[in-house]
Amino acid sequence: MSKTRLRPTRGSVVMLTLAAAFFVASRTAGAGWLSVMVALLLGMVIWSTIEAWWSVGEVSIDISGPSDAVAGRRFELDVAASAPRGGALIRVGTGRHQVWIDEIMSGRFPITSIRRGVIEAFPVEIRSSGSLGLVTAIRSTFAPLPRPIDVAPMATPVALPMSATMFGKGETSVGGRHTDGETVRSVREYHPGDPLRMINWAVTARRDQLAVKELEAPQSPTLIVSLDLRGDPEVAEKHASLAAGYVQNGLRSGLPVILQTHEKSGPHAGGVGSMLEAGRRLARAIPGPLPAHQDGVWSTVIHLGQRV
Amino acid sequence: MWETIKNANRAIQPEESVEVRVAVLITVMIAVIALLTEHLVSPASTAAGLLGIPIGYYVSHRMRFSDALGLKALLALALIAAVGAFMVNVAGAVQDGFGAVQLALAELFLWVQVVHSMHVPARRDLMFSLASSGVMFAISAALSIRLTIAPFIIAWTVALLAALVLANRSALRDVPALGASPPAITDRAHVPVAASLGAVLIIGIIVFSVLPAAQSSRALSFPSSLASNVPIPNLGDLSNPSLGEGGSTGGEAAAGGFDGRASFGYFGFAEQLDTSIRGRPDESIVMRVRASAPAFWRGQSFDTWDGRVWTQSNEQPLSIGGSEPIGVPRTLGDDALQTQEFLQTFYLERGGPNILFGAYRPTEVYFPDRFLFQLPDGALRTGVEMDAGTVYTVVSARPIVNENDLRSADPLLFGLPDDMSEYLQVPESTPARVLELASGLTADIDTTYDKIRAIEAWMSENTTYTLDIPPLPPGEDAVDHYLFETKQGFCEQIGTSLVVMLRSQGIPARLVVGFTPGERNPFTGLYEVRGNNAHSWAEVYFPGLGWQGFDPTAQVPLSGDFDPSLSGSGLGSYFGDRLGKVMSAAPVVGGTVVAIALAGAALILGSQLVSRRRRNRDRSWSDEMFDKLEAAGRSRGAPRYSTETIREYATRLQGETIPDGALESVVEAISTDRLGPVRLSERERLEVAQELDRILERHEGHRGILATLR
Repeated sequence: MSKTRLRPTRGSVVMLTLAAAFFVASRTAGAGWLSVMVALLLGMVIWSTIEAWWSVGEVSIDISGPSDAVAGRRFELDVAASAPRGGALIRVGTGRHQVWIDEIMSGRFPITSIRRGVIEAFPVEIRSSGSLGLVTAIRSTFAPLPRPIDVAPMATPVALPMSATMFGKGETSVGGRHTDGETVRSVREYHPGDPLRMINWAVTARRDQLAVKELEAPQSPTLIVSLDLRGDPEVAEKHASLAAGYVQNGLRSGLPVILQTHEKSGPHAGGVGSMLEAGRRLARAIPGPLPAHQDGVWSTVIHLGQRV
Repeated sequence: MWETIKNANRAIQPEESVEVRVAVLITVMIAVIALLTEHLVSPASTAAGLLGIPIGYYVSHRMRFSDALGLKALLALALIAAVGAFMVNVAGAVQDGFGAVQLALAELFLWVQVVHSMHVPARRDLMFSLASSGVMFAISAALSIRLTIAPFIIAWTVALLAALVLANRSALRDVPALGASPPAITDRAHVPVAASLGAVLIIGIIVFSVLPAAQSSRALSFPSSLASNVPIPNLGDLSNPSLGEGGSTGGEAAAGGFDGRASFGYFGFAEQLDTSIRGRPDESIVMRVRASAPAFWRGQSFDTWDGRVWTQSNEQPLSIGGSEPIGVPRTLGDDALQTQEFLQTFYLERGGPNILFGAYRPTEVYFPDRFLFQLPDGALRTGVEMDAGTVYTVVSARPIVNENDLRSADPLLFGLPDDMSEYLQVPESTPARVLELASGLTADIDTTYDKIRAIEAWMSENTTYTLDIPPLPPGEDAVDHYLFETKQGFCEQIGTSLVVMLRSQGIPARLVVGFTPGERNPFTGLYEVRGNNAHSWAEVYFPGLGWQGFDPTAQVPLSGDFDPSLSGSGLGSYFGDRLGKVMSAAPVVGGTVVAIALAGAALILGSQLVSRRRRNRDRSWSDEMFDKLEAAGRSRGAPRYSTETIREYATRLQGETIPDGALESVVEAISTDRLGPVRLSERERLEVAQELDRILERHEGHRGILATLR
């Protein structure tokens, strides 16, 4: 679906003004040659309009790009375009950058997607002023991609909860409640070198000597990032970036990471082994209910969303 | 403060293209030369225009990166001086009329161009130059009354289109190109220029055809000028040098006919009109008339008829000269109440009689001489010879009448003014059968208007208009000879017969001489009056409406038949007539032109055919295979880009429009045949070609993104 609109340039405004002035002069001074000039000037503006409309309609564009990209980071599209009736300007996406094409040309077009998501087609704006440049025809259309581009959210730098780094069980919510969770197997007396955070202060007080907690060994230490995109889209996008940050840190820390999202096919939970995989999952995430909470595993669950 | 001024004047992105500058310069220079050829500017301005503007463009290009603050200050002063000079010129020209103001304006615009040309660093400045060249050209166009400006208009249009095309291409190059480096802006620039010129001419003709026609308005323009100032020996007398020695009496014309006589030498522009004279002046243009509608350009009238010769009973002129505008008094019978103002400007192309022509009835005249005379019939004579180049403007009050008005204002019902007897005079020698015919034709008709129409209808049915009539035998009455003997005549015989028959019925009438409107030139908007447009017709008096013209000559259109409400009125017939004349006058020339055109077309087609054959002959098997692949890709909406090798192209095709793994090996085989040390055998070639065909057939319906987008 494409839409074409016309916009007069300063040149056509000047020509029409001159034509109007000459017409008035011809009607008062009786000068026939001025009528000829009026006809020629109007002829130029009319032809320029027809030619601009014609040439912008004949421009065709073929776009392909990488399979993955990150929101906010520049990537390049391969663009091949033909403008059989001479020069035209094309702008792909919503940015300000535009390139000039003539006849058949191909090259790379830098682009930056400001949002994550799956891009299947790019909005394209084609401008042509014909040969004379008096009127500009602007065609807005969409150029489909041979394969979609998954645009991952830019990862927001974020620290993992302590529980996750300690391989303990816990739960963190962003935008909801927050609780720490760890299973204490027994309490023993303090030995030098035990971490301070493991001191059980209650028992220490009762026994009047330092006592430390002995924790259950984690059965399956996992980072679960649960991303709920329902609610305000702007906030949801921030949560997606946070999710990318958590996943990135989790992977860097060597944790198995499970990403819970909602995709086109429904609620989806699954492990991600790399940022590329995580980026694709986050790119495809859409607002919707998440899969049921996974219990019985040693995990740190990070809830991200406005409905947590 | 200084910083603010510097910031406001800092150099903006300059126009880098020399080609754009040259195209704009050519456009401007064509406008300047048009101005010079119309003699609208002084020699100093001419030199400034011809030398200063090209120098200015050179300086501008050299200084395009500079702020040029000092230069700008100088140019501002020069501009102020030019405007000051214009104001002085205008102040001095007010009394000389609007034409003089136009000349001052032309000077101003030329100097503005000269000054402006010294600093046109950016494309925006060059576009301003194009616009102001249009204004300058318009001044020439407004004052031009001939076709001589046509080549300049065409040249200016071509140059303007070229400048626009190049400037547009240059503007595109402000934006980075996609991939490949862009070609030069002049690369194949002639193609869009030629295409635009053709389209603009076609659209322009259509627009011109429907554009309201140019019209003279009283508020602005009253041109008048004398080509020379040679006084008439006897002020108030008629002088017509174009009739030859003693020609004002028309005597020589009677003896010698029209051979070798000037185009203005119609025998009616004399003190008498002898209807025994035969022949007409030639087709040369004698004058051009700027008017919003056609009219009969009336010269003078005759009231006394002796059976062969018309004369005027009262030749006593009244001096009405003075400063412009010169008021023209009413004369006998000029009693029309409802009139409309009608402005006409006459540009004499040939020297002629000292008669001021104009549509009935002139009320004001713009004529730059203090002597002007009016005869009792309203005819106007000048006190100077009317040479070629003389210009004058006449304001007329045209009676607004229709048929009903003429029927109700019947001179037979209402009383006639005193002294109308001259207009009822019929010589006693008039044969009775003429009077009987008039009585018979009008007997059962009530109104004067219908009586006139009845006589006109009878003459139209029973006589023939022709310029080739036998001489009038001595002693014969011209009217009787025409109506009953030859039944052939031209406007003098026909008009005279009408006047005589009307007078015999008591209806006051007179014979008038002048010119028919002539042909309207659709480009200049002026009526081109030729020598053979000289004409005579009848005027009949209607009480309260004044003198009304009647033209019984069927072949000459009546005033008002043609309404040039659109600029293009008469465009088709104008070209048709000229083409017809060229073809009929010189069929050999026409045939030669057609033959040359056909030969040229055959030559072009033949050379294309030969070159195509040669190209095909030199093409290898691999070329043909690649052509086939390219054609297949193109038809599927994926043309090959100029930057792609055939292998890259094949890879792209394989990825989208022809997703077939076998394509790669086929292209590899063809490339090997083309570039490898050993060519494929005929059998291998056949197999590869068949495989390519199979691949293309398998993916017949697959279309690429380019095709989808289209």
